Amino acid sequence: MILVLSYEDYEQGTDPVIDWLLYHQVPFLKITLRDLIKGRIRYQIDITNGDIRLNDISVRQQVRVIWNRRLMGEMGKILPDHSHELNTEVNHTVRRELTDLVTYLSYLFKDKIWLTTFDRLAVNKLEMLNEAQCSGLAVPMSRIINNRTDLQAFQRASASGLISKTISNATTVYVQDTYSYGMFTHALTPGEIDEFPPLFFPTLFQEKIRAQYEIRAFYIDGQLFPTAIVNSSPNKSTDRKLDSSRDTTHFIPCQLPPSVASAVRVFMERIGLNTGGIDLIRDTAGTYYFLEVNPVGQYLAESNRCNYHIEQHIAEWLIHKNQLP
Amino acid sequence: MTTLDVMTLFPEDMLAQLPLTFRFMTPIESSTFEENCTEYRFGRSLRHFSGQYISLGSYKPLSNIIYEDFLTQEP
Amino acid sequence: MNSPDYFLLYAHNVPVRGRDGSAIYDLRGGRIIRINNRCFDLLATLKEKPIDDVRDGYSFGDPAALDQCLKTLLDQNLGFITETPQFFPELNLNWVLPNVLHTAIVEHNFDHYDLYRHVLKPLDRLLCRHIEFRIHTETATADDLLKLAHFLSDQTVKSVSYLIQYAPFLTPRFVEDLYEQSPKTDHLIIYSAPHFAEIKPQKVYFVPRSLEKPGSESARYVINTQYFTEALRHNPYYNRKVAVDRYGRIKNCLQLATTYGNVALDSLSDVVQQPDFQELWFSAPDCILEVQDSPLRYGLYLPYALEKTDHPGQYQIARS
Repeated sequence: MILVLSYEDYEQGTDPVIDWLLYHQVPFLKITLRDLIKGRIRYQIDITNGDIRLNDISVRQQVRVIWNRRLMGEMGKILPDHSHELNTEVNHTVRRELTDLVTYLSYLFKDKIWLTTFDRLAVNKLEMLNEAQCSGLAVPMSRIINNRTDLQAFQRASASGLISKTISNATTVYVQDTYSYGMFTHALTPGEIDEFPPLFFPTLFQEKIRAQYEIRAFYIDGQLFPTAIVNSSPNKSTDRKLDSSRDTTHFIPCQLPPSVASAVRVFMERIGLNTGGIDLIRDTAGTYYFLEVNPVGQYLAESNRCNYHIEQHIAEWLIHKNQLP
Repeated sequence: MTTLDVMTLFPEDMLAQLPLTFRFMTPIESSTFEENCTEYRFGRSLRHFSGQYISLGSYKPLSNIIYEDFLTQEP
Repeated sequence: MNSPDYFLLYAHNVPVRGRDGSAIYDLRGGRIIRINNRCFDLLATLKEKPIDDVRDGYSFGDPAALDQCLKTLLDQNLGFITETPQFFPELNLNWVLPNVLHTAIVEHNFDHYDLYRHVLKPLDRLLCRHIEFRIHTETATADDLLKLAHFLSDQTVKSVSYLIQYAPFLTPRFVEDLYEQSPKTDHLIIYSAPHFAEIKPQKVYFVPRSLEKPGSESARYVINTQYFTEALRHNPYYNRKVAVDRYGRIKNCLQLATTYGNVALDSLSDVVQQPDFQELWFSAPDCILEVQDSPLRYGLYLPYALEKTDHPGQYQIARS
């Protein structure tokens, strides 16, 4: 049996894979955080015997493969929400209780076949830059800086200018009235830098890469599905996400040079990820730079545009692993 | 996606305590921001264990009745 | 030394050759650009050879001819120049669908067969993706429609469209509520209505028209990746479709006379998986006499009855 850990609410990457599990009539069970805390399924965790029984199904005995697709992503939506003065503290406690429960489950079933283990659901963007470098991938010159003087020096050292971006993968979209305010990658002008305060909150800066095109490559267990995002417009945004719906942005299948593909595989093995979405950029000189990896990145848009059927590949991977002797 | 020029949501005294990325926010008209999924409707699917099952139209007409023609023609 | 330049179409722009002309299908933009067969051959050559190598052979004494052609293709945003064509494969043209049935057309009057037991439950097991209901209201009530929408709300179907014969209980308020309460509803059209009314733009309407005159006869094209790839090996009009008429007869299409059983007597699941029922699913445009030479054949919508010709595997549009 395959166990799918995901959202109760819409999660665009989950149902297309389940479509294929249903089509192949493969037994599976999907569990969400709401199922675990709202009592919608009957279960008990037998700590002594190291098992969990979900609706009388023994995970220890019956589940072979676990697809971990953003189980904890709904945490913010399902915590108690009331006006009690201790609400913040209550939420903190509940969050810790749930986190420890779920991490225990990952410990309990560490011998199962996982598509994304719990400890790799969130990765550190900065650590990934170092790991990519160690794997043979080029990375943009990157620094975290908290003062204007060093930032100006970094700017002078970067022939093509600098960009700023968030250090973490935390929420970077804020909704107010009819607008969503996003913190996207921003190309800094010398004037902007000169107007920054002398000291500021530590911020991530990278040299701006003169992009020929960007690449989003979906990876699963050694297989790569790269999509080139080619923008034929002379007026490109620094963050290509802002141009994705334009007619001049083309999502087309591409291949990575063998040395780059090989380095990506080394990188994914080094960091212990068997799936993820990898962002790369090919500069005008033909060098491929690693930007970041998202362990549970969205894949559907690229899959549809390149007709890759990635959802089918994920399902077939799960089914194959579930059938191994 | 409809966007406006980069700006910030926050006053200078607050920005002084935040990463510089907060100074460069791009306003996107929410109804045009695909990630918000505002144009979709959601049902459920028991087989998918899904409480928000996206309602997707077909990529081709379903039958010999093309709705847009049917709606615009005289009886 | 610089690497030579190649011209490639963006992968979502797929050229198709016909007998007397060719076309580029812009599968992302949903448009077709007509080209001549010489241009089709040129595009094929440009994939293999650098632009400079092609220029002499193409221009026939007019060195600017190729550049003019490329400028047109670039201006129309159809392709790009690259030094590394080996890194840009063509679009994968496989068509796959994780559903035994894509479409069910269900005609019903809440009288002749058990809609739930005989049709909707089997359709759910077959993972049917889209359902179009044609509801005759002689014996239907408001509760019948509400029960139906409620039943479908947690099934696997991804969208449901209703064509409902007008009846006095179908007030604008009721119809709007029905739409709002059933999020899987795509279109909700009340036909044979006393007058036209738009309740929800593009979605919910009252129309005076009857189903006997269903639509225009003009050619219609569907340009997207799924339709194109499906049409390479299947007939997208019939493929993975079942129709059940008001008497429960199982067909490939309501317009056709041939029936393959009755839902009250035969298992719908068994019938749709029979090879004879599926035969029309494979009547791809390449096998249809009237369209097989057209460069537009993979985008043409073909809601026609077909009959076999004397050539094995070939069809023609029925003359009736």
